Amino acid sequence: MFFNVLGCNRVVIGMRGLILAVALLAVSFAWVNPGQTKLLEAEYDYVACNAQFAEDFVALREHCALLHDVPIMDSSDYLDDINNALADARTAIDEGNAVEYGTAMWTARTEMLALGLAVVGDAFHDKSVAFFNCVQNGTAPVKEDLETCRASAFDTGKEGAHEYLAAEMEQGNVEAAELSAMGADVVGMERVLDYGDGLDGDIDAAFDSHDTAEVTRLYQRNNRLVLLFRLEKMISVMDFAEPIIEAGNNGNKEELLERIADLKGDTSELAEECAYSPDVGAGYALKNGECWSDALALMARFNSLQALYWSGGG
Amino acid sequence: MDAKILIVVLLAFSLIFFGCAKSGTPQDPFGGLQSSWPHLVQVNGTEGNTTGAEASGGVQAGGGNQTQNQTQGGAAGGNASGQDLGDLFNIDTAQPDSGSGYNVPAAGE
Repeated sequence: MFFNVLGCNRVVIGMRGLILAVALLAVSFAWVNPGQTKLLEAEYDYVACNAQFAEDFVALREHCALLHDVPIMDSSDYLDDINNALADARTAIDEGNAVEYGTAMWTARTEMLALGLAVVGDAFHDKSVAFFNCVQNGTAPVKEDLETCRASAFDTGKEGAHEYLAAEMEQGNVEAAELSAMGADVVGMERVLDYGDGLDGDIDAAFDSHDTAEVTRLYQRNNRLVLLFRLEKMISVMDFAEPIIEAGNNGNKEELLERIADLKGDTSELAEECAYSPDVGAGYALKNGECWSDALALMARFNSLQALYWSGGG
Repeated sequence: MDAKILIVVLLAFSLIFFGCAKSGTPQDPFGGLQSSWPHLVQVNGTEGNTTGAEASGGVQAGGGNQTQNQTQGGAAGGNASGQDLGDLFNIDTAQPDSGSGYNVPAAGE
């Protein structure tokens, strides 16, 4: 009802589109993968295994130092920092905050590396052969516990990865189908979805290898596929919209068509530059970062077309 | 995020009332839309634009942007179906999970 007030003079009509766009952008939210929590929890479990090992290993060194009367560093601050980072990660998972989760994991990594370096440095300070032998003999069972813990985390991670990707694929298929039903050409989107099927087939082997490098490669491939699907969707929408806008009476028709043409060219170019490969080499992650950086700029241009379209009267 | 939404909505409302300090004859804000999207607008003084939009996505399908936008002008409220073209220009910008946890080593290993 209150939109009647908006119709009170022609000047406000132009504002209406902008207001709508601003309001909608404010309340809009990204699709949250229902498999995200399980995936993050599996990663958390893996890191918790490593944190427990660090704690056990530090306790072993302290025990051996006491036994063989050698000085030992105080590791309590390092362990506190690691546990605090894990607690932050746990909170972020419970809140569904993927950004905070990533920050917490980055901190955990930094603190764990710091502890590792400190242990190496401490080994050079007044340690006896007996001390080193004591640590070496005690490490095997601690490592065994670590591998058992990690194996369980990888199993959970495998399930989580399947669910996560399945949810992505389902949503992607829905979006492609909806656009196709409207008459848009979605061949690019469907091609990316086919690549996603291939990715799913590689999940088991990667997690069963218990090799984090293999697992990380899956994530990198998925990262590239998500990017490419978004770019292909943008191209499909722009291809679909162009003739409709051309034939219509939108007040901003000329500007819309010009911006769409430019953006379509840039988007197609980026999609080509960031073409998918299942072979993850040394520069893949870096390339993902560069591609996303460029893509986000294109996405901002794409999303700004909404306000321009509406402010032209739709 | 809630505070942000509240601020934007309050701003929107204040702009609405500020911009309409002078009242006038309600006009058909969808006049242009009617000619290009007849299935979205009903004639005889009714108009409406219902958009059930969701946008973006990637394999992750970002952007579950569900908006119901009922607008009424003229004599009576109207219902419309179909997806406004403008709703399609909304792509999700969130990035997928990066598996950062698997990059955390075990100190001492």
